[in-house]
Amino acid sequence: MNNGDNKRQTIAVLFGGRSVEHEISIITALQMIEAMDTVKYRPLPVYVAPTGKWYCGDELLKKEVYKNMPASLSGLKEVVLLPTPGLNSLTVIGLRSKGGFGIFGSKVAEETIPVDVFFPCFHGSYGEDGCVQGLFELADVTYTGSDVVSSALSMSKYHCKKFLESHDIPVLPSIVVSKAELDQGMGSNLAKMRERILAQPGLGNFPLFVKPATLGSSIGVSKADDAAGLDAALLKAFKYDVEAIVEPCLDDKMEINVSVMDDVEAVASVVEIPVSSSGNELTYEDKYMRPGSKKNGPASSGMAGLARVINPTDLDPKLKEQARSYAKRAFELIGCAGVARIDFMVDLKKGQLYFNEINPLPGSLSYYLWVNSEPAVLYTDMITLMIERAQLRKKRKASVSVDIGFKALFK
Amino acid sequence: MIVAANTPVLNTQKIGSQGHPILLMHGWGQSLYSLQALGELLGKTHQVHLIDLPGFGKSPAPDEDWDTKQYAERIYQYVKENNLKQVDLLGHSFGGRVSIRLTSAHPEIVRSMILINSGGLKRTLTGKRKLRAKYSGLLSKTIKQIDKMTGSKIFENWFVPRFASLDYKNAGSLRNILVKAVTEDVTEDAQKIKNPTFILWGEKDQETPLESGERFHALISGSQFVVLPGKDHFPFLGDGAHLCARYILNFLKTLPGE
Repeated sequence: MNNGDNKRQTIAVLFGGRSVEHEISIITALQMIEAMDTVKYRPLPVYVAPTGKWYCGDELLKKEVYKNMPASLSGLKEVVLLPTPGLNSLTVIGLRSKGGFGIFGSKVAEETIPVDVFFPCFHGSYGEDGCVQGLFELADVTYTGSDVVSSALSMSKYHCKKFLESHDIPVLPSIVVSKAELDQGMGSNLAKMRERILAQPGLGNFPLFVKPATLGSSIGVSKADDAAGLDAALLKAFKYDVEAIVEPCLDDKMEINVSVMDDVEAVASVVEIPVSSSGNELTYEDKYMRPGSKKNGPASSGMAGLARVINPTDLDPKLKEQARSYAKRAFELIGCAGVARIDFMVDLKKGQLYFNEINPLPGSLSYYLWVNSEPAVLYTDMITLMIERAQLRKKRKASVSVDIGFKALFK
Repeated sequence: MIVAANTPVLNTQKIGSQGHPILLMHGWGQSLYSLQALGELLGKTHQVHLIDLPGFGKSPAPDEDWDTKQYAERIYQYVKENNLKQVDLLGHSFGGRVSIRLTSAHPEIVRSMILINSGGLKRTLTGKRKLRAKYSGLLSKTIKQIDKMTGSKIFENWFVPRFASLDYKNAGSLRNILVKAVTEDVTEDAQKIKNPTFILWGEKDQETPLESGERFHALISGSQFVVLPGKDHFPFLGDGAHLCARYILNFLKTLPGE
């Protein structure tokens, strides 16, 4: 077997983005590219800077490049994905004239970089919530993972809970409050908002949890132990999002996570219990900043580096099975694709499981769960499956006929 | 076959208990830790033995300056000590040299051999590199002679920092072993090998270039060869372990007894 001359498909790996989870996305993308089957695929790193500009270049594969941001951007090609169907490529913009020496430089024709499949590795705003997926749809390109609606529904915590509740998946009571409500009263409405929250069934007692309505990675999340704490928690959440969701905080609880992948049928991984350093809720630091939390691992390995108990032997097997089955159902009901991670809360007093949230583009793509599943799934195989499933979906979609005519205009 | 009088203790780590045994041997200056991530993935379905080669990691150095044949004999003893009938051998770089020596000397205990960016072939140097090698070779001989005659230490103090490889500088007491290893050529042994062989190669390797991989592929009859684009001398580092495991498992699946 010799693979020297086969043609590899180009996979544009998109990461970074206008999101508070920008850095985590870089880690996810670099790990993913490391594990990608480069015999079959040619990874093309596409970095979306915090400004929202897109850049391309093999330099982006080296971690050191990110130390000197934004200075290192000058050595990269700026690209865009035009919303025009049929191009199947990125367009290089801001081209300087060829040769570059004053009047001798001749203007170059538009340069494009052909792409076979777009592989978003974003977390959070604009990348995991249906926005970039919308651009993929407009451009009619093949892309991995969830589509516009399933991404948007997944990332709106409140809508997602209400939707799944209507399909008999247990969720904790919650309420959504918006920043606009506060702005109207020049801040004096905070007390009113607090009262409205506390009047909600199931939210009458402290402690309460306050989270930005659409963010992941525990950013902007806090626990309120009293009225003053609730005010502070709301203001903190509004720093990151225009809406906040408030939920009760169970006193004897445990988080468990499961990953689901789409295949011919959705499949669920083993469950994990993420472990926090403080014994309380997981913080951003717990998830991404704890050095060496992975045994002998590198200091920053994203979600893969979190301290966790995978497939805990002392956890009730019934609960594990229930979590896996709810996770698969949630994934299918929402219409997710690719890989997602579904987080549950267990009320240890009642032995009751509640759906908490779904991440349609989880940190490290949850590969650490799959490699510990039975049978073990290699990260390389996950990536290949995600690409192949995306191509299958695109083919299926292309077979749907679209009739666009002008007859109605001229009746 | 010469067996050293001393048989230094081997530090090893076992992962997984089911499946066929596979021995993982690391490169020069490394230890079993470099192959641990790959070992953990292979250990899901195979009985993995990660080995610290003598003089590396937690295995003590041999009393004398071994060549790679003696390293191979020590691994042969390990196979016997552990009552393993037949093993798969996986060798990276220097560990690849040892694998080739061992497979050639004792083909009966080897079910298959897997080489990752293996050492063992002399580089065919061209252009500037060739010139530099000739120049530094002549220079080193001359300086060594001056040192011998005058008792000076020009070689150590002037030549080594300027011309010696990083491996040579860091080799410490293993320097003579390193010199033996890099000046050896395993072409003859490689040609003898009839065992199923899989050659995996990180394309952008500066130390054991792709050309070596191609030559091994030509030398070992029936060998399979996969080039990993974008990977360097250590294709299994980080999450690259998953990619290497994918191709290694694909190969192992085709072997009798799987």
